[in-house]
Amino acid sequence: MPNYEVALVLRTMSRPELISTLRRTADAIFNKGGIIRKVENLGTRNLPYKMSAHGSVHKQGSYFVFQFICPPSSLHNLEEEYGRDVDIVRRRIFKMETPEEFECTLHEEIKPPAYRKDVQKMIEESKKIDKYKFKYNSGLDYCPFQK
Amino acid sequence: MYVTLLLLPRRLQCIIPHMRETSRSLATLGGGEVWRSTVEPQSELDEEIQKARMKDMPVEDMKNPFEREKAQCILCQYKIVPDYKNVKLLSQFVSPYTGQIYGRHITRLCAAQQARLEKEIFKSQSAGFMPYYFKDVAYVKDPKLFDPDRPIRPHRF
Ligand SMILES: [Zn+2]
Repeated sequence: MPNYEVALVLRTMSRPELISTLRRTADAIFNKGGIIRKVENLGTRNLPYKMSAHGSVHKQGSYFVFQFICPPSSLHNLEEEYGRDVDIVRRRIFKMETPEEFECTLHEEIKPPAYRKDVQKMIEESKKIDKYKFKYNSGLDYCPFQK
Repeated sequence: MYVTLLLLPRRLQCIIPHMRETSRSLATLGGGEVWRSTVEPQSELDEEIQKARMKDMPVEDMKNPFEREKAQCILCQYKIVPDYKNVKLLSQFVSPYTGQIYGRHITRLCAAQQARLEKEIFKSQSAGFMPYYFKDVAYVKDPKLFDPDRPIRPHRF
């Protein structure tokens, strides 16, 4: 089962309300056969933009991040269940991927265009295309009409 | 001309290379021709002089000393992986006036890192961490990583 991460924006609530909401969201994962690996509180702050959810406009919110393992088939149900929760302003589920290693190609990219490989490839490709040339089919080696 | 040269005293003759005692022999190192004396060393002193000369000859199989260091983008250099929760980092690559992500010609990132950064910024904006149309006011005075007015390639905005 792959690792997932859900970023939640909850509406501002009193502490006991917040606890019950968090418990509900966690239970939703457990009920779908998932395991929670980590819960992070990113604080309560002003939202970067107004968000309307469940018929009211929110300007402040509490940020939480759950890292969890869960079968991919239950992801849709989880998302749908969070969507129905009135206390959740916004939720996004992301797959956690280990960042792949790669070599920096900046030194190739800042070369002058003529030395860049992608430009050289483009020039080569443009040469390949044979352009359409009109044929008179008159059997003559000259044009009989005024050109 | 030749006649006059031949008539020169011996001391002067040794200065002019294409006279009797030297020839165009040996090695063409680094594309240029090398002049070497073909006269057999007659004394110890001559031999020492020859050895000293050999030290001054061009070095073979030497690395290009003028080769530049490989340029690396700032994220690859410090091995930073952009994350959608790290709004402070992502905000540094966004215009404070319009919230637009600066292009590769301004940020000086490699193609792979720029793609990764843009992906994380879109995730962050969608999850409600980062504003769409401006830079978070708390991060406006952060140190600048690049100057948008001096791009590598000219741009239209
Ligand atoms: Zn790079």
